[in-house]
Amino acid sequence: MATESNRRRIISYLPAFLSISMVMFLAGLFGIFLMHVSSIKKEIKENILLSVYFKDEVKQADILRLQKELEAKQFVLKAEYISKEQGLKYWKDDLGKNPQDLLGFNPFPNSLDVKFKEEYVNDLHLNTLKKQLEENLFVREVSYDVDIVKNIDHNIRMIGLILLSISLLMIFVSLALINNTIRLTLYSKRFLIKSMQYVGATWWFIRRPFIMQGVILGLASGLFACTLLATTLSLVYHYFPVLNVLDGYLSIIVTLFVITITGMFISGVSSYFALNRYLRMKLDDLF
Amino acid sequence: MEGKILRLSGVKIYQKDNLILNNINLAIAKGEFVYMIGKTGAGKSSLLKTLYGELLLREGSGNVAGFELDKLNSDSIPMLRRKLGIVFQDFQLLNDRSVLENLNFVMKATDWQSADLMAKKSEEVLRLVGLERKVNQMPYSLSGGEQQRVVIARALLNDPVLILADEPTGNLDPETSDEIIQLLHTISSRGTSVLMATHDYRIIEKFPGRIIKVDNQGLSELQ
Repeated sequence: MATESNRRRIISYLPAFLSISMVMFLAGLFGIFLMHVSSIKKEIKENILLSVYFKDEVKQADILRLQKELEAKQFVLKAEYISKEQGLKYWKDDLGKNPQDLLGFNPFPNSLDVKFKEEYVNDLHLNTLKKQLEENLFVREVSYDVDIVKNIDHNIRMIGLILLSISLLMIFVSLALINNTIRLTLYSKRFLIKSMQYVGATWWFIRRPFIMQGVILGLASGLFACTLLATTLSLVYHYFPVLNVLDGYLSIIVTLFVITITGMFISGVSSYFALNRYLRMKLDDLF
Repeated sequence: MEGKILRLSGVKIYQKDNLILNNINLAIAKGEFVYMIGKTGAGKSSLLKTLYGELLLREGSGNVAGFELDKLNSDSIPMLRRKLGIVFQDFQLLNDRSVLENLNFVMKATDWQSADLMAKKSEEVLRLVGLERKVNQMPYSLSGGEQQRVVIARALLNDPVLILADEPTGNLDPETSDEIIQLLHTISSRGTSVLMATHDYRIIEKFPGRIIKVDNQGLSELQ
């Protein structure tokens, strides 16, 4: 019969287990989506090019020296030397026409294509660098797509704000849902809690097992949500490999870990506060 | 307080801001069996609630089992309740655990350490109420009379000086009611005082005891 009472106790926590698991699953899915958005943002920004075109008379050695100087700077990710010939070849490969046939000469100058670390890709920084490079006597022209850089910043800021708002809303909804679920679970035990008080149990003695059950509930829900997330990600990876959802698997593991710990913490703290409420209430107020 | 388990002097009892009982004076001696009668809503339950710390005493003075009622706080209320046995009409058992687990819970909650002593005590109180064969049953699988016996067994675990019973036979048939009252009288004869609120005059006639009446916000002694 002891197993019967345990079985009933476990069953009483089942609705809360499922609700919390679902909340944590959704929160986890959103967290992983957020990480992918940030990696896509990084990818886009680190592929923005600043092209430095050199005068025809400038020797390759001088260009390579400038390339090294640029690569030594902390904000530069990579500076690639593109010779006149390579420039022409890329044009032919991309457009299928040879401008040399029309013009009678190779119009492309030697150049450096400079890529930057994500955090330095903004109009202010690129424009400052452009002006500095244009003062170099070897340089004919420096260009980057101002519109794209400005739009990327603006769009990313907008997307960031939207995602931040959704994240805050998500955190609030998750907290409220888990808290309410725990409170509802304990509401059904309010007379039990009152009975415990009537036999002389101290508040802490009554609280301890409920808080432990809350923490275990959070742990079990977290582990279940992690299993669901892992299965979902595997299925997405299998059917839509182009999305690369398993990229940055370490971050995914961290997300799953954070979700589980957060679930345990919220469930434990919610149990504590919900219990205090019922411990303070008079018997007549429980009906 | 010599020889008295309970003493109230000039007590006013309120439910929120409503005065329920005014200028209550009462003393109960060790081993005394006291019936408390009165109409529904007269204040019997409010008086009992004051005695076990559910309602805090705002005016007057009172002492129950050595605890000053006007000085009770969240730390001392559990200690007071360990000296009392509280028996309700609706049992208030922990329905998610067996009879034995109900008893063990109380003992663990009241700082019993030895498993041997706990086993001996639960066996003793269950034998006293005649439920030694029901130890592993869940409360909902027991009859009303049996559930009330478990409540009484639970109330006896810490050798209380006073049992407060709020209409303990209200949900029971006459035959089972008689058994419960007989049991409470037996407990009383062993030295534990009993204060029992009831509407059942048949029981009072059958099992005589001291009678107090709650009426018109006051308390009077009936002969």
